[in-house]
Amino acid sequence: MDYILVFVIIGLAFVMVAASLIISRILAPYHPGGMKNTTYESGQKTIGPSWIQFNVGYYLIGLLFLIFDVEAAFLFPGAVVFRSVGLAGLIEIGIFIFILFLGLIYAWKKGVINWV
Amino acid sequence: MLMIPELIILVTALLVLMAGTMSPNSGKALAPLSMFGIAASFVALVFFSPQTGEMLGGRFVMDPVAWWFKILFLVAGILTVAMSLDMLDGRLTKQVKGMASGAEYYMVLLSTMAGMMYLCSARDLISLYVSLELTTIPLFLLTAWVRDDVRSGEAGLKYVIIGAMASGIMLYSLSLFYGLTGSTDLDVLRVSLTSSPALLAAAALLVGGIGFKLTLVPFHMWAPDVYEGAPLPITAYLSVASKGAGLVFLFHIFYRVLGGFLPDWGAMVAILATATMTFGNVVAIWQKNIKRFMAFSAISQAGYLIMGFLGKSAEGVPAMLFYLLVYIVSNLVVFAVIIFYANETGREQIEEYKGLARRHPMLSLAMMIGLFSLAGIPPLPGFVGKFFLFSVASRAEFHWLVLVAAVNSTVSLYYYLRVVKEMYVDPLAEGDEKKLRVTPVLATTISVSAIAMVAMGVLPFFYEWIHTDTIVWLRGLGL
Repeated sequence: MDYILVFVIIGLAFVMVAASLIISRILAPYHPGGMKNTTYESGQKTIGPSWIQFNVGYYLIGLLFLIFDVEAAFLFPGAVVFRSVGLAGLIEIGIFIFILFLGLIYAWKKGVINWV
Repeated sequence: MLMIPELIILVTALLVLMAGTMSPNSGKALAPLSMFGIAASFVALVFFSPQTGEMLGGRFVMDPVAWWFKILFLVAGILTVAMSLDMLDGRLTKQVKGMASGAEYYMVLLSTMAGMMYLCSARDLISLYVSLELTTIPLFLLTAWVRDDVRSGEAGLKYVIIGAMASGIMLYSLSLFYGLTGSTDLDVLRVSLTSSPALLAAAALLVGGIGFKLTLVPFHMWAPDVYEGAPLPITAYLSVASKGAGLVFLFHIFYRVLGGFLPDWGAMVAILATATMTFGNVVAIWQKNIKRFMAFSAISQAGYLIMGFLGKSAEGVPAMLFYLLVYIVSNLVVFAVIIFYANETGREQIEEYKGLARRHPMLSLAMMIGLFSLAGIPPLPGFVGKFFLFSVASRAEFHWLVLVAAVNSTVSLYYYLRVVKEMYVDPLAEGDEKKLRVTPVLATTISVSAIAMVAMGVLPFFYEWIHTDTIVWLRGLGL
């Protein structure tokens, strides 16, 4: 019965979750209301309600940002092993950046960067 | 360079996207460009790519079965582009509103084709999974392509949610395989897996996850809604290529990894096949919308298809490949006529096919032989394909399943004939006397694929090709 251990771990997982919820309920102070219900704005006082319509442009720019953020994240491992992969690695990274660059051109041509 | 066909497809995808973005007038040139890319990939695969070989340290492998599957996907892809082009270029009598530009459409379609082709060659659980997602995620987009159509959006949303669930289930299974052996390499898995309850759970979860793709009952429930809502060419593509992708995945796991266990699981495969074909057939009888009708027909066809997994011998693989080829061509012939009729009139109900034979005799003939091929009437290829699959089942001693499948084929003939009756027997509705015009591309597509379909049934060497190509290699695997 090698699987006993699995069930024990599953049981433990349930106990852990229940215990952490119960213990925090018992020990933690509980004072709802007041400032706690306001929108979190990095410590600044909020201006107006937070239920407003966002310009869809935010999402498009956000997506674009994400693409280049991920690109940067992929470049780091390439930079770390750069000496050992040599020219082939450089070309591969070049192709990768080129494809992302095409994505930027696409977004540009589609007018994502123009703020309306 | 084994990867040339895939790379051609991917480069074409980028080219199409860029061409569409850079010059707004390029709309009509995009479909020919995509078709050229697919044709180039086909040529590269047939003439310049060896049937066996490996690269990237055995992570990307070509073998005869993968080679044949890639051929099937390319055929399905080029036919789908040919069927999509009227819709995207706006050559419709009844316009579809909210259709985005063609560049993205072809780009996304080519990406899913590339995913399917990588799926054939992947030999590692991770790359298999990534390829499958590359196949599926573009299909979500394509399903929801008609922006102003609520049904299309709904279909896309349902497909995303259920597809995500199916992926989750499948990942569970893959993680169990990894947990049992500590490896993601299929060859390592093959030698190191031993029978255990966890293995059974992994196989069951895998069948569940892939069952969504293959629309096996009871994992079929997304299919009718998605098929109905998606734009017609995408419905056609979903019904053939997405099934093919599921079959490739099952083939990898069942034959490459679980080859030793599969014979003992025959009864379960047989039950799945019975449930799938019977349910698909019985429900198809009641359908009024031609897209839903084809969805249930596709479900029942999946039931026949997985009969190839029965038994000890490798004979099932060429039988499944041949049937998939036949099914792709027959189904696409039928869909091409449905697309033609919907393009001209916007009609999708079966009873609206009334008297089509008087309005366009040739296309009705093509649709009739396509439907007869799906039903399995000799000498059409559907019969030949079913014959080989049934013989696999009977050699595996599943005589009852052969009986069930034969009865099911007869039932399916009834509902396929219903459409034929509407077209041929029923009189024209009032005001329908005007002859219908068919666009040249669609006419070529339909006639070429209909002739190819009949040829596959009459000429015996198509099956011989697949059989001789694959069987020696499969025997070499020890199957």
